Amino acid sequence: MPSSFLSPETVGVSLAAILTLIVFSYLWRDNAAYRLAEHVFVGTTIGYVFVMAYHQVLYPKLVGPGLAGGWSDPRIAVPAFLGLSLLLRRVGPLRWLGNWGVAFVIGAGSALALAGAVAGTLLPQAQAAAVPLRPGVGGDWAAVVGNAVLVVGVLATLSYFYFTGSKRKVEGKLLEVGGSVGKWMMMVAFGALFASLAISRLSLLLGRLNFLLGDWLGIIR
Amino acid sequence: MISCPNCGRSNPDGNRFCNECGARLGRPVPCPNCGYENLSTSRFCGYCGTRLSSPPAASTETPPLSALTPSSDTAQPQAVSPVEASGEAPWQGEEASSALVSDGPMVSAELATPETTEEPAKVEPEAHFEPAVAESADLLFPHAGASEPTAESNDTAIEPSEAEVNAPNVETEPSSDGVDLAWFESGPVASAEAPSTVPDLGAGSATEGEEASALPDLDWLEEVTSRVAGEASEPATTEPVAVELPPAAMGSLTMEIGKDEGGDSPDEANAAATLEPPSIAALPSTADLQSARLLGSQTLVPSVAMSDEGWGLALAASFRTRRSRGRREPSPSVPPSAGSLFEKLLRSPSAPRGQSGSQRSIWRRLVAPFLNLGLLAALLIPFFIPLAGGNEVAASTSALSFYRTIEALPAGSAVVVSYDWDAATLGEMEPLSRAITTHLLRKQARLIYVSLVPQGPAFAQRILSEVEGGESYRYGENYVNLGYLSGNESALVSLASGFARAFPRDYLDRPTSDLPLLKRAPSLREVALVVEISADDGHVVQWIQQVQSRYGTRMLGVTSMTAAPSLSPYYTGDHPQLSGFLAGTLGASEYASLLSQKPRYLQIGAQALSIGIAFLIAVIVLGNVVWIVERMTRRNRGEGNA
Repeated sequence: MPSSFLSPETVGVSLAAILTLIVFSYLWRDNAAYRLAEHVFVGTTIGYVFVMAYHQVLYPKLVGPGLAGGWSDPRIAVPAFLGLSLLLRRVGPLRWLGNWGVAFVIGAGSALALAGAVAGTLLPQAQAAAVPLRPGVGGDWAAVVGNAVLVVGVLATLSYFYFTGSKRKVEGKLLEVGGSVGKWMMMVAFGALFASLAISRLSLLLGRLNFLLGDWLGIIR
Repeated sequence: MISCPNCGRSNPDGNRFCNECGARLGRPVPCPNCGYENLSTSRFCGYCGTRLSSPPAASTETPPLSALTPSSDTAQPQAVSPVEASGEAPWQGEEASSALVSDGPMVSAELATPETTEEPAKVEPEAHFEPAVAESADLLFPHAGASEPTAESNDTAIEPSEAEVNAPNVETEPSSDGVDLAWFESGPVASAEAPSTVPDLGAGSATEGEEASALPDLDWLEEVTSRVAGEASEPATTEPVAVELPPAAMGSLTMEIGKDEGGDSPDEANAAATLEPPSIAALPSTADLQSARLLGSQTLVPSVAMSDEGWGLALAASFRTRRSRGRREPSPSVPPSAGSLFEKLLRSPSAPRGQSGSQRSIWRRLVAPFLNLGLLAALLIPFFIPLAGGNEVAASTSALSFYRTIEALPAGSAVVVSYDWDAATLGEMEPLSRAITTHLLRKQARLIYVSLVPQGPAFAQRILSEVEGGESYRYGENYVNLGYLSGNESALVSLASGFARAFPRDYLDRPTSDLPLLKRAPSLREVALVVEISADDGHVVQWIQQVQSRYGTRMLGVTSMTAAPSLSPYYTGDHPQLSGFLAGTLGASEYASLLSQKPRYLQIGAQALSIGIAFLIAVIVLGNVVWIVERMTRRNRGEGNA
């Protein structure tokens, strides 16, 4: 328990609890207090992010070395130019300069993401989908059934996204049937995603209740 | 699908009542031009843009209204008509017909006799709208020499005016609407009848000595037609004259306002209704029209409680609709507020049967607060009432694998722990982070904290200081907090080149090159394990794609329940990319059980979570049952009324 009623810890906990209850008031209806709490949350987050970004990224990697005489170094000057060019997108005549920064960010990010997706997700997942369907090799019957469901689910889901098959031909009809099965598989997956989301939100609510009843009111320990 | 005009819900074709609120639905209205079926509330076709009008097809027996066009000489309105002076009903006899000159735009035609006409207007009536107009016009402008309208007399009695023929936008050849409303430009028809009486069609119904009543002031319509005709016209300044319609002489005139199939409320209007309400000093009263019927394809619905204003608007709407029918652009000069009363009246839906609208809305308003309070009460039960269970949570396979991976670490191994979650997910991620940090401290692992989100380093520092054994850890030797690294994939790639290069200064603003721990493990290659703690699957996947797949580093994943289904493929299989996986509050409870810890908040959390999930399942099932029962009830009602 805090020793002083006005100790920073007490004030902080009380303020957090009041803001929590104000945010809960949205369940009744939108109100000015909720808007205030929302703005406080957004403003505080942005302020904290800005401070962290400056002290953790900009100053140690750009501003500090530049001020120490490193502006002539291309490893400092080029990133500085690209970063400033992004800000120039708000300036009408110089907007075209921002295209350089945007192009670099998108290009580098896309290249890394694409390479990582192929090597880190596509190939390993495709390899993992190649499972044995023969009893004994693939394990017991339960494992074999699971493997079969996995293979059928993967193929059916992929066939759902194949839109250029002619329905008059046999392969087109097969794709149509597979697509229907894939649609049901995806619905099951989305249902699982929704259920997980609901559980996650309940957990967050429990965290807030634990804070209000434990840290603030001291009812539970 | 039919959209309900009351609540907006889409209903299947064929529904007559809304499945959601029980309001009556209008039948689709076929476009007269292309046949496309539009909503009953539509004013223009959604396919070709044609203005929609009343649906029923009409016979071709009655003559077109274009025959009732005024001459160009009668542009000036006259205050008193010869009919009024003669004391006869305007539609009785040739003199009456020829003298039927009005001051208002609607009835301003001077009905010429056959000898004075220049060329007859041969306008073929449109299929479904012509007779109503023609018959309505007969109400007001009787033909020469005929007490009852006939096709021949109508063709010859009324001739188009020169202005009407020469008007650029007036169609004298067979037009799509067959109606020539240039006669609107003249003044209203003089009448010997009182303003509020029904126009007299038959003989003997005229009443002498009654005050001259005025027709509705339709100056606004004159403006419309003049603009359409391409010439400016001066608004009528004379007072309108009333025309009386005796009930007995109405014959087969019928006017249909909407499509009411035996119901007790008017349906949505099919005619355009954005009109300026005229001054209606002389409109027929509702009582008179209740027993009367107007000619044509429109049928008066006896149960329609229409005000005098509404009748005037309906009549004016039907005339204006005919005028603009066939054109694909809306009338440009019609004020948007015109006809609002008419629209409002016809759009008011019928109350749902068996339950009033106010009761339904109150019920719906109470559902959400009830559910919220019920869920809150369910979650609070374990906080105040000790429940059995939750002390020991059986660990899942993924949690066991996670535990064994850390348990197998040699003492003093360098472990990278990435805190990639923020305060919004504190309730779910903090218990997980505490449990994992406790286990790592037990194994005396050397921790290298990094973060791809700005708030991560602060949480790492706080949790380390609060867990058991954390106070004995020395900064720089047992652990380092490198801080926030921006750039996601590119930041992770830079870690491979060395921690000191990626982080010149740490979270406490100290130079990282001087830290002893980083001299022992300068990059990811010297790290034994990576523990990625993230609330979403994005950062975990980035670590897998940029670090685990590149360098083969052993990796453990910790996320919220939201991301658990998305990350399970990386854990399953013969060659999983994640050596272990924990998710959500349940994962924290499982891991605490494995560590032989029994924190009360985790025990309560597991119990409350179970009760809350059970409550949600019950609500969902109950809601579906109620919906199914309501749907079946509505179907039975609909079949019963069929």
